[in-house]
Amino acid sequence: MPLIAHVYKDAALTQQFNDSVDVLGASAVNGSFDDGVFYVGTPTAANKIEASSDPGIDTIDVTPNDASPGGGVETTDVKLALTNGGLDAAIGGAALSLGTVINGGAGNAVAVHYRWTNNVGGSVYTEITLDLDARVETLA
Amino acid sequence: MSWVSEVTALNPKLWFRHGEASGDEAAEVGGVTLTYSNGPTYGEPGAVGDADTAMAFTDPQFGQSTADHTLWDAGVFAYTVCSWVKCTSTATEIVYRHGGVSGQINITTSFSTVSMFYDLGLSFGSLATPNTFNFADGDWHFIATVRDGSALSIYIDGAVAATGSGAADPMYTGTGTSNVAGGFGVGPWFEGSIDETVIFDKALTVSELDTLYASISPAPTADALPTSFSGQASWPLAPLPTQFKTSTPSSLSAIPTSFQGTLAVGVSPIPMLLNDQDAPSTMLPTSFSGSKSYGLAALPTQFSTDTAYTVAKLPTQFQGPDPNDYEAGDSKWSLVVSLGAGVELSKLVDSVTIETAENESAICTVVFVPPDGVIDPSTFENQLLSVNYLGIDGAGNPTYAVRRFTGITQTAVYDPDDGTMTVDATTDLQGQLENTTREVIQSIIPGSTWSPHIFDDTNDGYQYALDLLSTVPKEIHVTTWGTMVSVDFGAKSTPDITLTDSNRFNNSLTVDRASRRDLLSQYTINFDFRFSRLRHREISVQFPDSYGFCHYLNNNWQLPSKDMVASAADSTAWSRVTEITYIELPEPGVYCTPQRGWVGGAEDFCLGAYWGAARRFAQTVTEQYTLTVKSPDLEANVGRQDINADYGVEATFDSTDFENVTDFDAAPAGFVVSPKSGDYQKEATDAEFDGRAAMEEAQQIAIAVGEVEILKRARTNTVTVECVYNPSMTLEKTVLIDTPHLTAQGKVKRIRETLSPVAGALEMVVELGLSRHNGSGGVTPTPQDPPAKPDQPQEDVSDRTYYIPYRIGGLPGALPEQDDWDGYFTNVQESLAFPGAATYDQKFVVRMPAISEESRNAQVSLAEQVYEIDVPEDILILRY
Repeated sequence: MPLIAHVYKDAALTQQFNDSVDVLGASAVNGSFDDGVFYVGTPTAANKIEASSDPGIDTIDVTPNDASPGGGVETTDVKLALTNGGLDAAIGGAALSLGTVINGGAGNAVAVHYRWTNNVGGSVYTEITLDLDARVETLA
Repeated sequence: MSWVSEVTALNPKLWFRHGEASGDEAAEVGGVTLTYSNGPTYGEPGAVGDADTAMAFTDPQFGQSTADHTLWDAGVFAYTVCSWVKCTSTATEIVYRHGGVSGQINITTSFSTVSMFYDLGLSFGSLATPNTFNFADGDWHFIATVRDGSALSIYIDGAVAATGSGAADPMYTGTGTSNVAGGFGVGPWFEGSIDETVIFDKALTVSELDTLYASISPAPTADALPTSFSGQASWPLAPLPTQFKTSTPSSLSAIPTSFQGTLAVGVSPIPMLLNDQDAPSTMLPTSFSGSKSYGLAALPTQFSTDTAYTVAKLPTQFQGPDPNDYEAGDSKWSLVVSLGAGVELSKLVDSVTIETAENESAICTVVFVPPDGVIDPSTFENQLLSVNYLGIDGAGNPTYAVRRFTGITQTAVYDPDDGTMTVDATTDLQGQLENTTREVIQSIIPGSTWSPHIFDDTNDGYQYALDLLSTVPKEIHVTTWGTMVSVDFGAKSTPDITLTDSNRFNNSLTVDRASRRDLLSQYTINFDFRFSRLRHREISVQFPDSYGFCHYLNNNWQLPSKDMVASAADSTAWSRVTEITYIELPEPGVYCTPQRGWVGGAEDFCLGAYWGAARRFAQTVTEQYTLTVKSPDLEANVGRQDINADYGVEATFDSTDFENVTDFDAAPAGFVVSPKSGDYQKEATDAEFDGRAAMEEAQQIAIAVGEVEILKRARTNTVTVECVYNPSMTLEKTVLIDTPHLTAQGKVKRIRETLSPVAGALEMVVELGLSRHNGSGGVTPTPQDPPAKPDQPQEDVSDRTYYIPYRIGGLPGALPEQDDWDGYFTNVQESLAFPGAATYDQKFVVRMPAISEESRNAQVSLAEQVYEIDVPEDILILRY
């Protein structure tokens, strides 16, 4: 299914991410960077999201993943943070924890800020995915 | 049938057997030669059971084609890549790759997972299996990755291990190198053994892959399945509690009677408890060995309300525009305008215009020829519209792309004269904000603050956002990717883009300096805070025995009864907080001079009395603050240009509840005696909504509003330039314009761009906002702390003892009674009355002291508090 559960393009959780038409984009000339943001949450206020590996214990993580390591963009070129200001200190390639539970409702959605630093030059690079852990949605 | 015959029958596109003894390897099929580097090991025992050998690799050994070659013909929408591997490394590494940065395909593996990736230029597809496998077991494993249009699948040892979807565009027809085990970029490379890498330009079926897998010699075997085991394997899907019951088996073969644990059935290991009902009492095996491949199994299930979701692999598209290309005089470009679900508009007939500005919706207009057939303009409305600028090479192949607009179409107008459709799209900033909750809007504008005492609580989302923006030096817009963001409106110290004369068109520089009236050097806030100060005043009431017992004996006036005193004491607005202490009459005896006999027996009467009383009242206090936010630099340059703003907060408290309480015998808990008033008191300013804390927060917000207003107006200097089209120009950028007659640096406020694919023309007009004060600078900003709470003014502390006099009629000098007299009124014995002296009716009148107006209302005006701000001085140098 093209709609990605729990991933939205807007803070109000009205524009669900559709991986048949949507991408997490950034545009930057070589040597500079560009930032973007997406949101993880559920618009169902009565529900919550937890990591399916160990609900309520394990953190829900977003991790940069390279489908083509050794060329093009590397995961170390991608930083993640919970705020745009946090991107400066973030470590390239490191996973970002969204916490052990994300409560429902747009007000509890977690903003995931990403920054791509262009260290490779002019082209279009699509081998990086930002992987959101497997999760379960249950009544809060 | 052997492996070789089965592969041959399927007509591979490219086939490496990796069976060389040394040196280069010529492909069995496909006409490509691999050169091996860094000394991999030849002649390893092969995987398929014939005399052909395999190769073993450790980092950084690899194989690479001696020349670039095409892999796919035009119009190919499917492929299969398969190989036999024995992987020994935990890292994900390339088994086989073809292509460059664009247009590549690859199959990668670690010892626990297999993944695939294909890039088609502006789209791609990828898939990975769960990390549940173990290739580091010393055995050969058959891995295959299959693309069939948009459907993707990965097979391991002939069984489906993962399915997914990806881009459906045709395969890349350009050239690239083939790589085995690595050799692209900087590594890491594959570690383990590889045999029989085969590429097909079609999607092999499960049956065909099954046949390939089983065609090796000897046939592959699986480990004997345990008859009983417990535990839980890790898997990405949430383990689903299930219970299955089978019907009476129709076959006697290989149905376990009972086991529990996990059974790998391909995609997801699912914990199961199988109970076989009505099984025959004989003949069912309790154990079995062997293996059988299973496809996806639609198992009847019973689930709880939990909903599980697998790992979500969010695709990215990182675009790197090349300044060497777009700044070149002969740069070539193209446009991709997509409407709806990835539908590319192929017949653009006029310019695409895009206009973006701070705090405004971005607007994009596209004119195109719609598809043949009946036209319904409404189908082009409310659709996702995206515009990508492409840099292209001489052959027309895209070398990079840059997103310039993402929004929603609003109006579609069809022109029946020329058959064109004009579509207007917008990012609809205002609409998005109007439909967004306040808490979400506040998360988009970090650092902003809001108070119902400063702003209108009935404002909609858009106005609420503007209210928040008035407290921080930020602007809000929707990015070219369609995300709403807020960014500082001040210029960065280091510019993102530098424009020189070579980057702009002649005579296109315009400088508009802010006029005096545009600027603001001072923002004065008049802020009142009104609240109730609750007070508890205590007083000592004294009715002394002014004349003495002997005077009473000599004049024989009527004594006050205790009841009369008590009644009078309890008849005022003051509450008696102590018992009444009476001045008793003496015991029977002989008193005075001349001596008089006293027989006593007057216990119901007294010579005097004293008691304590208290009263509770609320004082209305108004604190008046004058908060002045100013820029000394601007004031020095343009003089005092100021505006005033008036705010007020009244702490709600129903003082009648306090004042109407009369039954008490002590001060209320928490009240403290004030040296300024002599009363127990407490300020009713604890209310969360409008207490002192809320008032101070509102003051801080008012100060912030003043600061931002000064900063915004200081930034009304603008420089406009028509520059060479720069696809990296956005509202987030700081631009330095460096020309012989002008040097200016500011943040982008507005961009208007026109892309004309028909005429091949590009236009871009950029407006920068520059903050200027033209002063000496170096101002140390004053912290936005609210002013300190003012001291309570000193009151004229009234006497806290109230004396009640005797008023005795008939004595010499007794005056006629006055209306405002208090006291105990009585008369001497009539026969002893002085002729002409006034006489009174017997009574006891208590007139407790009044509460002064000063204690009822107080107004405190504090000295002006000044907050200095440092206005940035952006570069603006005009020279000849």
